[in-house]
Amino acid sequence: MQLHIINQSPYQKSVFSQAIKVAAAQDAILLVDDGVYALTGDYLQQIKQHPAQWLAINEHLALRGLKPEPGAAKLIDFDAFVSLSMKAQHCLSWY
Amino acid sequence: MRGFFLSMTKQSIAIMLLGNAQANSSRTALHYARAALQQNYTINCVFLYHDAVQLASTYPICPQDEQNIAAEWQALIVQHQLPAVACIASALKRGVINSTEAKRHGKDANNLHPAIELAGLGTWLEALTECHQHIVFAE
Amino acid sequence: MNCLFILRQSPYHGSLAREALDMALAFAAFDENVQLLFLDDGIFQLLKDQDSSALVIKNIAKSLAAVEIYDINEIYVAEECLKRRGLRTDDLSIAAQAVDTRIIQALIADADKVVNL
Repeated sequence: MQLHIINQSPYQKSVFSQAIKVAAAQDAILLVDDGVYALTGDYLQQIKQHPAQWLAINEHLALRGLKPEPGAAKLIDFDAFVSLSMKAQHCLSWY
Repeated sequence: MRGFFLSMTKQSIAIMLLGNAQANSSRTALHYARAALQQNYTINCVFLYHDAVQLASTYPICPQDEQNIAAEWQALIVQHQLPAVACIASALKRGVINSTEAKRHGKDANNLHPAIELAGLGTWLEALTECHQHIVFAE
Repeated sequence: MNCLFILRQSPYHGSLAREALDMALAFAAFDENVQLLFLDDGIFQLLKDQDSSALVIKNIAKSLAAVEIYDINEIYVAEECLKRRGLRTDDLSIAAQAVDTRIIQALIADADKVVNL
């Protein structure tokens, strides 16, 4: 299981598109900082269709006033981020 | 044999930062590091590369209502005695220097935090080799 | 140790592309087995005939020339990114293998360390 960490808005940078191509079904994809903007618009649909496990840092969503639909991504805190990163084979940061 | 050594080092994380002191990634990295330490993981290296060498400088002065991420990183490094390195090539280019380098280059500056070392990429490679997991925070 | 470097930065967007390559070369100098995978605008680092003579800027070709000297011979480019930029492996200054997503995922899974810069 690889952990992909996306921290850029998909509207601004192409890393989201690149990361989701490289991420496999058994991988986890964590949205942090501006990466959480992917839980909106067309990108939300891409997320729903991608078989990987999607997660987002809850306080980064809250800061940006985002309330994504339940089930789109699992909302986690930094404790869970750490645990997830230690379970992954590799952490790949996409920025 | 490798499995044995991995299990000995399974609790350690090597962290690299590339973003400057204003970058979201530097703040996120700080929160990650704090959570990791609270969960009793060891951070075997905090490696400041590229613009992140700014985090090694004692010079930034922030308004009272803003977080001084560089100072917070430095406090964490001191509190937990984290092995912290600023890549020397990246640091010199960006004006983060200790008194030795300042003398060597005829500069009047000494802004490298004393708990952070100037070193090369070999140090990062060593940390990578020994850690269980590494993670990069960049912008 | 098998280190896969994923290089995504365009060659002259600040210094990150060069610093990433410097890291890969440093690892190779320490005898690590380094593989390079160029993705996205990282592919532009490999374009032939980059002429920096009019600008006082370090030509990335210099760092790339060292790749061979340091025995880094596993060089990959993402096929889709290459095509999207209207390029073929012939357009590149070093010998590189075009790979699809499946192979990229395998490279990642097989590496001891992955450094995504």
